Amino acid sequence: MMMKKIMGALTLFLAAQGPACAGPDARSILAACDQVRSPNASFSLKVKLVEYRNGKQVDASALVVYAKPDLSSGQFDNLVMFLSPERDAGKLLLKNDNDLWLYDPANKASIRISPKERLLGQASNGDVVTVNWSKDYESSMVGEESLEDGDRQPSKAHHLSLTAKAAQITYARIELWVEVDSNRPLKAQFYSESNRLLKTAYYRRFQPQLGAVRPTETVIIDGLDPKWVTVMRYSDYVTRTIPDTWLQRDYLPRFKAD
Amino acid sequence: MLRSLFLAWCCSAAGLVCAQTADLDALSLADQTPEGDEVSTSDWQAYAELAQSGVDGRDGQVLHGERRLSFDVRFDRMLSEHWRVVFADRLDVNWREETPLQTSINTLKEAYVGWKSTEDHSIDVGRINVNNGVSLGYNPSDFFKVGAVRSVVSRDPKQLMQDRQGSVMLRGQWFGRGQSLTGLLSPKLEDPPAAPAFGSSSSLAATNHVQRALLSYSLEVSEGFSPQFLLYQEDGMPLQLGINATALANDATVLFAQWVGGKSQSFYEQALKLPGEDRFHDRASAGVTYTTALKLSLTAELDFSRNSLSQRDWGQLAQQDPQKYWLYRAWILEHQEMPTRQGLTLYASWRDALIKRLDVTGLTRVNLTDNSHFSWIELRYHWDRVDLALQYQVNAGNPFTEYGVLPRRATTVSVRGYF
Repeated sequence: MMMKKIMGALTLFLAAQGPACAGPDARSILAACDQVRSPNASFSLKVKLVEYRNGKQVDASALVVYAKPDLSSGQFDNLVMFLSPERDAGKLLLKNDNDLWLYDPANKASIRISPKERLLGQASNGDVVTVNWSKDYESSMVGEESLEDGDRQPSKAHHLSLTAKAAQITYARIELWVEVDSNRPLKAQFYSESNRLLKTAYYRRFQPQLGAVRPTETVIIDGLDPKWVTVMRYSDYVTRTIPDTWLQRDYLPRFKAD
Repeated sequence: MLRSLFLAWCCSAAGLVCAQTADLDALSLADQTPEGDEVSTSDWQAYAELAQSGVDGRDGQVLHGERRLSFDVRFDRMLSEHWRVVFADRLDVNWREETPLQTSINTLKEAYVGWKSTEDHSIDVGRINVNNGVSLGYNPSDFFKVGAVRSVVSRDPKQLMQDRQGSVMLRGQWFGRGQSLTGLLSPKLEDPPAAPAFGSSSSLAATNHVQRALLSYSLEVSEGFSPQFLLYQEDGMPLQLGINATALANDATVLFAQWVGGKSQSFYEQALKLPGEDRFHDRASAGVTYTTALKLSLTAELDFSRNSLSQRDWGQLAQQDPQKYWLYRAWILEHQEMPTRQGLTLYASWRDALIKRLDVTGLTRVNLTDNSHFSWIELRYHWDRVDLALQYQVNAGNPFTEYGVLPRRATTVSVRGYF
């Protein structure tokens, strides 16, 4: 009986906290955080990925991401070109929302793949740099917290909880910590629909790039196996014109990087 | 109850501490990632492959052993803002163990020059590899597959698509908002061989023995749905119409379908050069690819060809006239078509299968008309610049069925090095 009362009071307390914490504050912080993560114009950058298992490097790859804002969806359309390893060099991944095509110059074939199939490859990490969270997620403020950032320095952060607006969005929920003064993303935890932790990401190495101070390294820790670590380093940020034709399936065999 | 809550809190707190320690370890590891090691785009790609095969006959006896050395090179460079040159070639040198006989098959995959005025218009001329079709096992709309495969080194359909020669043609392309139009003309440059000659006819006779033209148009009908429409004209054959389409069923499932139809002779009449009236025939394939959370992609595809022989005609052909049977089979092989009307393709691809860097690929094709089938599996382990692969294939079925007539088993071990 006593326990029921405690639980009831707790439920009422949490219900009362909910509406007060949600609202434009969380949304504006998230929008500002998106601006820190990626510019709002067309650009390209190089991504170097190094994968570790049990403390040893097991894989490395490099790719170029060409990103163009899509005014209708509010997201970026991406063309990803693989630079290494050698067997994958020249392969292309076209991503217009959930419309995904993989092109192999060796057989000149473009194959449509599902969002889940994309998650199998390194490109799943490569193009997350351009995902606009404020378009895909409802945000609510959990509170202000102290945490150690990616450089193991104590930081004050807004803790936001993001919930996917649609079922087909890659991660059902994201817990995000955004630095209070700068709106820099510090840490994020990505969850599946079944509330399983899929990965934890730390954003670090903040440097001036394309008119703002942005993270140039993300450390991703697997949710199931914390000894599986992927380091993503971004370089060669360039603002550039990206023609609409580059983002069409039939153009993939014609694409040639300059 | 309070005790349970306390225990749960303790476990949760302990988990949090563990997670924080793991995070700190990961960040320390990331600190050690070296700087530099810049990678840039390259115009060249090349690899060499050494393979050893063993082939068993229908009675289980060893038929022969074979060694193969292959070189594959691709060069693609922009000469200026407007001009581009592409060259891709493959050389397969084969040795039979029992005989000193050595055969070399060169496949000139591409050699063309391209010009573009803007990103929206382009013209290419030379030997170009054109692939149409969205299916894995059977692509009836892939009109330029005829005579393109000169050397089969793997039954993997993706590898078969890769190791084929292009046709000499003039190609123009236009890209608009959500749409594109491609027109190409491939002239007749040599007379066709007197009989189907897989891989042994001259390269021009294989791909340019008849004048062909293709017009293809893609249009984004709705978000994520861009069907492709094709009009194909070949000398001596009425116009053929084709459609390719794909759709996303959910975040793990892709649907694909294609259809080709038009008036033509049956494959049997074409293969044996028989007089016959052009009648309406159509060919189609449709399937689904599903990806699991375990990095495993599964494809099932149904294939259909009304041009091919019915169950009764196929069953009678080998018994009544073996010579015609083998001529028909040779024609089917050269045209990469189905000898009978219905087939099933199952394909599985598993990346990092059980251990990191090990990819497992499997393919089964079933002839639903004569119930023969073949299965192929490949285990491929890759280091940074070297692949080690083991392939095993088995054919099964009654004598003179599509797969029953082929050698029972084949095993291949290969090493590939990328330059």
